Amino acid sequence: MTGIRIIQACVFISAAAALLLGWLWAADRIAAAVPRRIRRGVLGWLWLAPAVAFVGLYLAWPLVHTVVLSFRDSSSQAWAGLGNYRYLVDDAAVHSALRNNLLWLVLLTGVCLGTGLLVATLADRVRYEGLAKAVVVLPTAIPFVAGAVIWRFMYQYQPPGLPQTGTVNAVWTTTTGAAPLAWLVDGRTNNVALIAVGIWMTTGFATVILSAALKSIPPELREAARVDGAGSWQVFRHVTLPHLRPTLVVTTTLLAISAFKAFDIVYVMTNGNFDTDVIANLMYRQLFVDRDYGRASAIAVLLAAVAVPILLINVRATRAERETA
Amino acid sequence: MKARILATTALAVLALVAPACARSTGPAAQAPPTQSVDRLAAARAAATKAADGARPGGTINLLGVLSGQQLDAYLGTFKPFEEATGTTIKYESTRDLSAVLQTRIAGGNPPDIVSNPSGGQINQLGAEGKLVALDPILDMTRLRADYPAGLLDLVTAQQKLYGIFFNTAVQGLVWYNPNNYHGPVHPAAWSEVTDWTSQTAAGGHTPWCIGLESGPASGWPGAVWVEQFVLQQSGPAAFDRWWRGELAWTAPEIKGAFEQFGRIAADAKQVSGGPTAVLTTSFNLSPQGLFAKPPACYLHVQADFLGNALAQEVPGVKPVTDINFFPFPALSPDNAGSIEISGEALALLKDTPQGRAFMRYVATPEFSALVAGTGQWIGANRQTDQSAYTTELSRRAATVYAQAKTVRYAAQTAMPPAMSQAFLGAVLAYVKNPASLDAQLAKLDKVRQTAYR
Repeated sequence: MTGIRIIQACVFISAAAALLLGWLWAADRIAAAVPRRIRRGVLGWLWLAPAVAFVGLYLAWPLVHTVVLSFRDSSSQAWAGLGNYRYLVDDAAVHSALRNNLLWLVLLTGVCLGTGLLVATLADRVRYEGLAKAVVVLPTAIPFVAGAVIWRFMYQYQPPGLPQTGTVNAVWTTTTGAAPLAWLVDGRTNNVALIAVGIWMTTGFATVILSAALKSIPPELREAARVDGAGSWQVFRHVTLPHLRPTLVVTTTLLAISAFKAFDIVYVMTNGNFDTDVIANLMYRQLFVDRDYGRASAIAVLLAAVAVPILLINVRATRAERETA
Repeated sequence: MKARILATTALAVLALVAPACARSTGPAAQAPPTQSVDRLAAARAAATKAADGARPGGTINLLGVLSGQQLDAYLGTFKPFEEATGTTIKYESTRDLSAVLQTRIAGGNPPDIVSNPSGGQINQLGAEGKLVALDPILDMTRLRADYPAGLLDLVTAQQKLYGIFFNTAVQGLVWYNPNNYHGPVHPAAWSEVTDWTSQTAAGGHTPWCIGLESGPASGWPGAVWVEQFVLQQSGPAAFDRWWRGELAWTAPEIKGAFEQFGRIAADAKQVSGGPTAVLTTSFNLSPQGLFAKPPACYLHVQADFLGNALAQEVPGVKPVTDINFFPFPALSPDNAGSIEISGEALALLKDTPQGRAFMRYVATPEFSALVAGTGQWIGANRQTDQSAYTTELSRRAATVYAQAKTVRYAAQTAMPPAMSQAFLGAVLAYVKNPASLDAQLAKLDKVRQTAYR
């Protein structure tokens, strides 16, 4: 059985490669046949054609289909007009989820960016740079679900007086002497507790990008500034930061999109109970539990609409970064 | 330098290993029961008959919710089938079964067989044509004699049968530790229990332990409490209208049931650790309060598997002497003798020779005897050999099941998944904030409008 699969895989890979080479050869032939004036343009588009077809089939068409489904009813049998969007506007659960997502956006992006920048800058100056960055980057290697399960144990609560089985409560009660907190249930702490897990798992990503960008700044600029009498903070503010600006914008946009994608952490730790719900978890519930395809599609369109401006900023900043590099 | 690293590593390894070696040698927990050789042989014969003497081989992918020791016991009941037919059974476990099942069906990659604790979902999927009808595969006359009509009706859609219950569990039994519980052990009415619990609470001891945490299914033990109150307070007719979606959640029957539950779960004097502990403690760990020294509580509501599970998990606990139960007493005399049961039903998604043989196998009393022999469940098949039960507790529970005047299926598993999930979420939100009850019930009514389609 496995043998057949391996043969099938080999056949498929060689066929794909053969098809691609065949297409390039055909493109050359077609380009040779067209007038010289438009030859370069035609060739370019012909080379792009397979990729555009793929993206069109697997990205563009599902996107359009989702938008269409968002105007149909729950089982996608009939038209529902703006009913699903009215649900987005009216439903209290959606509002609560969006409010939480806003909190995720601000906290996750801000703290990850700040911590990443701090670690990248400080690690740059010490001999144990590799170790320092490894400690921060290591959590990004584990899946979000695994991290969520780990932290669910860490946040465990036992009534006051009993030995605290959760690490966070154990440290909290011994250092401050206060009563243990139900971090995931208490409305004052649960959202921040979940976001803290997200920060723990995403900071490494920001650190790596910013560290790479930091190292691309020519050291002569910093030395020149120091020779002119600038202190560390002034060097950072007037030399380092301006150079980092495009990278900071790109990183911020990627973190912002992560904030809206947050699902695993919320699903595993609280499943959205106790006012911790986020929009991605809501979409999962609508799609797989309530099986309301209209509402789930409307939420998906909302997420896409939120992500598009962020992505536009990202593209512009990436172009700027490429120009300054 | 190198020597220092070596020394540190050695110390670290020693530090990790030492606690394991120094494990205390107290009384061991009871080992899980082993099946009798005769029963295994009888089950093998039944499996051969189910496969019509053929050995179809192959694999069956089974999707279910079990894990840990319960899963080991469960897989043991299929061993005779695997041996007789040469088929391998691959079990996949997930707590979020209803969602995973929907996804896999929608994605064109369904499991061969699903072991579903939600009879309501099987009904829904059967009506949608996603399951294989069992009428042509099984001996329907024998089936109707062996299983209670209500169990068959629950998994029948459009006059075709789609599931077989392989176990039932009596839900909502009240467990206690005879060594430290001195209240009523055969209460005729709920008021007898509450008299004792008020006295105990006044004396400064919390009478109840409740734990609602269970991953994505958190809140289900609380839902069992509410269902018990609906059944024992308002009767089976109201109960049926409720899970069918014909009774509003804001109706006094349901609101009253929630309030009864809240009187215990949201009161820090009644429940160990207060509502916060109720919300954060896993349902697996909450009964251990019965054995704490000093006891954290004296009473715990859970299904019939609890006694045997505790005997196998907590060192030094023996059934009947250290853990026993009484059925949830009625709140009004008309409803006396009502019990609530739940059960996992097996449904077939892909019509294969192995699948058919498997479904025929699980409908046999020989298989049911093995289920009884695990000490975890009660066989749903009425022909289950009573002597197969491993402990006095299981026999008592099976007797309760057989002799109950009124038997109803747990509402949360009879409702469609969307309604059930909203129910569980509302239970959690209610315990967190009892003042929000009316708002929660109104939300549930809104879900009810769209969930039953």
